[in-house]
Amino acid sequence: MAESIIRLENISVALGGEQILKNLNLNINDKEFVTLLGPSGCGKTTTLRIIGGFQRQDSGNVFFANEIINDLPPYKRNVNTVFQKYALFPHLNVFGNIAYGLHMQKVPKEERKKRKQEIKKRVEEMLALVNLRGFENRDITSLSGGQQQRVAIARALINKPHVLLLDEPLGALDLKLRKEMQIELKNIQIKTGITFIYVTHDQEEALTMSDTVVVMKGGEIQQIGTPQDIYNEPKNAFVADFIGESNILPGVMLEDYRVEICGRLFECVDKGFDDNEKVGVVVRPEDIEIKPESEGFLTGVVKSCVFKGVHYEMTIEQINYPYTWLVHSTDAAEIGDTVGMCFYPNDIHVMKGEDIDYSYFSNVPEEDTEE
Amino acid sequence: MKPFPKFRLKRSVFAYPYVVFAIIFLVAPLVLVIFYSLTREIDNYSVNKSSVNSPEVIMDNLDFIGYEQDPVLSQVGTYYYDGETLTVINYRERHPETYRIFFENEKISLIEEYEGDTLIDADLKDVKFLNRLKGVYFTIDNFVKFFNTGDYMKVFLRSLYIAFMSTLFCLIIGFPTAYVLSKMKERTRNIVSVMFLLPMWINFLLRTYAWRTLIEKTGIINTVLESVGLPAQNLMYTQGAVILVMVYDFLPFMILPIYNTLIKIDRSVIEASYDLGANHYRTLFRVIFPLALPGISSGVTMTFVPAITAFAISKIMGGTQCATIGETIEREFSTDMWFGSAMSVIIMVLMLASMFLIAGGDNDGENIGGGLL
Repeated sequence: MAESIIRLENISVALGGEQILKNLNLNINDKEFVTLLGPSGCGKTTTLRIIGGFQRQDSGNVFFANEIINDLPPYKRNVNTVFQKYALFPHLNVFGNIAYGLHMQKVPKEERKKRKQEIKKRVEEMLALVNLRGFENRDITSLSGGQQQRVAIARALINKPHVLLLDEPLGALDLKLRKEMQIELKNIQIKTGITFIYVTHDQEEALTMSDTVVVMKGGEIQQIGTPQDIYNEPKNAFVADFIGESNILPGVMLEDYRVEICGRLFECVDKGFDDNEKVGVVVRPEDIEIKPESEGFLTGVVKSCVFKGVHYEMTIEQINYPYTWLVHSTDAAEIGDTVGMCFYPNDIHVMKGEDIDYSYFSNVPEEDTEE
Repeated sequence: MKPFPKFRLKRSVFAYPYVVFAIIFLVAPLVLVIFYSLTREIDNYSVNKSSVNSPEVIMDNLDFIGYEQDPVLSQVGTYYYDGETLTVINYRERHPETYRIFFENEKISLIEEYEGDTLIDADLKDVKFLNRLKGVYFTIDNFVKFFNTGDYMKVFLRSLYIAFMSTLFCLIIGFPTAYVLSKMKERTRNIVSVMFLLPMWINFLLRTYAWRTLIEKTGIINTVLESVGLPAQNLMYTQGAVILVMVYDFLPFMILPIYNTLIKIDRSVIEASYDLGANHYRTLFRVIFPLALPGISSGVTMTFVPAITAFAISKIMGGTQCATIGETIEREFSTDMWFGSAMSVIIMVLMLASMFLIAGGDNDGENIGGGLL
């Protein structure tokens, strides 16, 4: 398929005595939209800074198109960055900001006159790309957050980089604008054919835009895959918990396609585990159906029911087994009702689960656990 | 919630005492100096001639001149007044002494004639039979005097040059220092910045005298040079010495505002510049320097203004050769307050003009944020 454009090999970084990245290996293909996803402090921004050249790794190599670029300063890398708070130059107007990258390029003397025209043309192109036509002479401070964001993207794209690094670029925008920008960013990526490496802690953003999602935690990669893979087949409990909401509970894989959870035997679609291996089982709350008490596989008492717009979010305490289920359903249930729950073999995701701390993923509200 | 009580002091009320304070404290001296510069004093005497005829009055008034201590002089022999001149003849043991008091054009002088020579021209301001006329009148004579007298202009241009050179050297040394300081780790930065601030805790006159002992003819530097076998250098009483000490004294005022703006520059803006293909050198001149401009302009003002008005440094280090306008103002002010005020007003206007020029140079200054301490 596509060839590798950036490859990180055994990257380790420690900052202030704290290990930020631990032996990280990552391959990013050309023209891909890759998202580094993880909670704050997971090392995703550090990874981006290493690719951008702003941070030197303690060990390991960075490859750009199969060449080591460890010692290349940022200004010599064919990589541009959209910074978290845009980092626009406050002393330059929109035109000056966008044209900055072009002004920095070395041009032979005889071409200088033509160059001015060319820069103007290129800046106009870029402004058109980010829907900011006619903003050339505006002051940076007079722009709204979304407009500043667009200027930052245009500024980073004008040098036609091979790779664009985006460090939580939509973090400061409101929800509606963020959704708009997500679609726009994806369009820009498709239009320009540039590899995007996108850092975010917002799982929804990651799922919407990416070709590949890299889930990170504590300086290590947890899972690499398409958004579908990551959501449907989480490799471990952390990924399952971080991407979307989930019920994570211990189970035993009796044999292929048969798993025992909460005291009951379920059919599932997973195989390849040892017989009687302890596993973790993920069931997404939206996959659980609420039935009358008599029709469910499992029965439980509704503990809470909150209206969330699209659905009701319920916690249902199971009878006969100490687990509280998180359920998303379009039907409301009264608190205190006993209801039945069922889900299908497709909806059961089994993962290796020796060392899962299940109490961490508990759906029981905080007050209850404290008692 | 209850509505606010009806009688509420407007917040602006609390501003009035401050405004009054500001007027008294800040504006009043300035207004006085401007007033002085535009006026001159009338200090004339007219003679109350009717009282001159009485010998007692003359006796009383001669007291003032200081003769009352002189037993011989206090025995005035004869006196007479012809309507123009008062003649007092004092018979000493051998020869008479004659004092004449002239009333000419409402001015008075005392002349002692001794064997035909005029010996004393005394000041008679407090003589009782004089009516003192005191007051002020508006005039631009003070300013005319400054621009008509070539020497003052020469001194002024020289101080402009000295102040300009000091500011330039302060900037050349100060900007890189502030830049390096802002790049340091916090701990080293604190130690180094204390080193720069430490001299400010010593009175600047003492620091200036310290430099003097270093570079004067028999000073430490020359002693060292001679001991090595090199010729002694004549460093004192030159413009170079004045500029050197000015740079030394005013450097912190250049470094601090620049440093303050430099540490406020967002690190990611500098990274963005590298990212877009600018190397360190270009980033310094295209991003860091423009963003530090507010600090630089306040640093320049805080160095240039005291440098042009400084008088102690040029007095100590420059001697008579390098008198600056500040020194001249100080001297003039003690004898002719009105002319001294006019000189300082001229400098103030020039300062204002140059500050407007600096402020006009960076219109975006207000967006970046104040660079003042």
